[in-house]
Amino acid sequence: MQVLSKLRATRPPRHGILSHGWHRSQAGGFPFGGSAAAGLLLTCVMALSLWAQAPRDISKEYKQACDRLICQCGCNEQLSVCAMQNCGSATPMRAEIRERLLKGESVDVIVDSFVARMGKQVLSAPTLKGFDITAWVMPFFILCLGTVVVGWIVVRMVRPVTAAGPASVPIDPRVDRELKDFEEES
Amino acid sequence: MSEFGNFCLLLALVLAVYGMFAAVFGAWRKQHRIVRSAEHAAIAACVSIALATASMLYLLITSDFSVSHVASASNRDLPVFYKIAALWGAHDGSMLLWVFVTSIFSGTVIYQNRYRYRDMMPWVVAILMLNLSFFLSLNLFLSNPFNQLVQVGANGSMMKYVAADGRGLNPLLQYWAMVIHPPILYLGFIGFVVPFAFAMGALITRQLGDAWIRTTRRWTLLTWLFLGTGLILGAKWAYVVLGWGGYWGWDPVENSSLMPWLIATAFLHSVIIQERKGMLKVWNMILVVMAYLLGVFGTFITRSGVVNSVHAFADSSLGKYFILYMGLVAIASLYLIIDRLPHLKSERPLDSVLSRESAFLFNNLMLVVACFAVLWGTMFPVLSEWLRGSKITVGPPFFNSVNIPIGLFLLLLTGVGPLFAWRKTSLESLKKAFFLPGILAAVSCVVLLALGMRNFYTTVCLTLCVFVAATILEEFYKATSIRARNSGENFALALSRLTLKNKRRYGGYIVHFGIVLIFVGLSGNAFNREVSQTMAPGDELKIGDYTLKLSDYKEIDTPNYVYGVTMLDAYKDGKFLRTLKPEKRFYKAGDQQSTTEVSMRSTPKEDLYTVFNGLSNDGRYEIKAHVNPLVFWVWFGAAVMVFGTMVTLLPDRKGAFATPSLSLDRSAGLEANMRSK
Repeated sequence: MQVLSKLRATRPPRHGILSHGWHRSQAGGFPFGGSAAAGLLLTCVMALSLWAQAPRDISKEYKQACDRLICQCGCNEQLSVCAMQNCGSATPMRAEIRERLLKGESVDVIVDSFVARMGKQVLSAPTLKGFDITAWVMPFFILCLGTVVVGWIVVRMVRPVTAAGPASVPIDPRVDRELKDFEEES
Repeated sequence: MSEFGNFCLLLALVLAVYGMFAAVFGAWRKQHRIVRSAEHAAIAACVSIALATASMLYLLITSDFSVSHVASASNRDLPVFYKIAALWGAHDGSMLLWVFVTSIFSGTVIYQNRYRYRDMMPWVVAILMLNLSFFLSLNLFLSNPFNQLVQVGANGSMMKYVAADGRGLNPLLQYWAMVIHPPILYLGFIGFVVPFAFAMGALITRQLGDAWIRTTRRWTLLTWLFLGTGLILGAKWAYVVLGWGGYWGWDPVENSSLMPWLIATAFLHSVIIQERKGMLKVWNMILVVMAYLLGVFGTFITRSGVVNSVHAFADSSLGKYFILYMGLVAIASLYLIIDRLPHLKSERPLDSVLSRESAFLFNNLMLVVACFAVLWGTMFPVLSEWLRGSKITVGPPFFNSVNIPIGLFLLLLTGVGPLFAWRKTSLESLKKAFFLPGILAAVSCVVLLALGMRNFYTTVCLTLCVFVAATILEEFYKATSIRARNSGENFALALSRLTLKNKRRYGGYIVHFGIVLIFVGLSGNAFNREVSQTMAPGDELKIGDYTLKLSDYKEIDTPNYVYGVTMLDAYKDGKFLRTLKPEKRFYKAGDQQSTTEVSMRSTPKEDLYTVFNGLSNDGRYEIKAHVNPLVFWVWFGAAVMVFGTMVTLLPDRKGAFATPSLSLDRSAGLEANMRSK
């Protein structure tokens, strides 16, 4: 709503330039061809200015910026998620992001400015600098370490192949039956 | 009545402490009568806690606002259903519920095994009563729901005070899924104390065959089922009530429920290896200790305020007691495991790297790594602040980046693992087993790419889903065909009898299939769309193929809340579907919080999800619409998982929860005899 109201305030008056041009041509100061060219030029300029002032689609950058920042009201949710109406933190932060994106600022610049003001806690994920990088590295380090350990255990536990000797121990019939059931189940 | 409730809690604590010491003394001096008295004391403690809980329910239903918990969690106009739910609607009452569920589990286990495992049971009773005593102490001395409201009188003395009305139940909890979500979650968290107690009893008595695992297998499975159901109900609540369009936000309290579930999943798989092969005994002990401690950790996270969470209760002083308890339990458990290492050696070596045993090991590895990643991300802000003094946040971008690849690898193992044979699998048989699922997966990948799918994780996820589903369906088909051919039964009968004959195996496959469906649902997240718009009556909002037209708005007053409801006529490609009615509610009691009530049209393909966020400054209606593909499959997959688990829990022919009636020593001896052959 704020954006639309601002747009209404900055659009050029519809009739001002045209009416001025019309007066000039009525006064007979310019030939017909010149008036047409001036009119065409003016139309192009107006179209260009309207296009320049038309709201560009910022939805993708808006979502990116809101995904990268955390609402500071205590809900611990990303700005894109916090659904509290009139949230004291998310609402003004989202409005500021929208406004600054429309001014042409990039997502990185906007996010960095929030970090400068509120500290790194406003980011929804740790950075890749300094101690923060351990947040990202540790799970994959544990995965690699675990893979090495499990691989070592598996290799160490594998039974070496030996020649089978003659069976010399009589088999309990109950045990034999239960072993057969076990093999069938497998 | 509050004094009665207080007295019951105190009596329960005395009985639990007596039970703990008497069980240890009786076991040490081999005095059967003292052990019996300990068991009776434990059961009496359970009855006492039940009476305390009943008295709190009475206070809630009769709206006795002289009691602090009733005043903080209920109000006069609350429907009776929610007055009962108010028992767990605030911190103190939820501790009472925790203690009540713990006592029920403890009493049931003790009663079930009153004639069994006479060597081990005293220690099991001692551990159960230690656990109960800890939580009872916290409940009685630090968060007592029976505390009376007091105020300072005219003469400066403290006087009892009766509030005119209560603050009411948190509006976010006034939804059916949230009513049952905490009790089910508690059944999940608390249940791990049973396998833990038996594991410790087995270690202490050096009876380290797998009889303790067979005894507790159904308990563990039931606990895992409850925890998983609690997680899904919480996700469903988040989706329908919170109104942000998603169902999982990697909140610390959500994570604290997920971690024991992951470890329990690893435990349920690795115990199969111990039962069949006598391997991984040390690992299973470690897993059961981790599952128990993570369950306690979960409630520590929720109650201590150590991490910020939308779910957490207010900061309390309980944190240090939890840390002390968890530390002592971890040290004692580790000591026992190390001391008993000679008794925990594997009875058999591994026959081959290419075997189901190896696949299970890697499955366990991935589950434990996933648990670590969640734990690390949850606690990293605390660690960072402690080490550097600076606060940071670890939110969904971290958890998604780390856990998606791990989850996809787990999904792959879900399909690959069952294709390996026990002991050894030849490359030839692997090629045969992989052939059809591999072909189907490759074809599905090509089809997805041809249809324009370019999201890497979604493509991999759906391809793996096809692969795993194909392996499961092939298993069922092959085995059923053989049975039908041999027995002359028709396919359906052969399928049902096959499943019932080997409930663990085929119930497990059904659970795996449910997991596949959940992953299908998760893959839709990459294509969620949302549009926000302020609308006046008659305005239209376009999202995807849908058009929403605001046709009407009403405001309705109820005793509990006032709500505004917008009528949105939904059209797809010009055809009228239905009228959606998202609401905004303002609760009259307490802090007069507001909530949104989502209205959605759900199909297997996608959900059209609408939220009414209230009135804008110019009196128009703020509407947010989402199109969320494939969410239906998350809930359906969860239902399939529950069904599969119920199949595995079905009683054996001898009766429900049949356990060996031999004494532990004899059964351990028989198993050792079998394995030596």
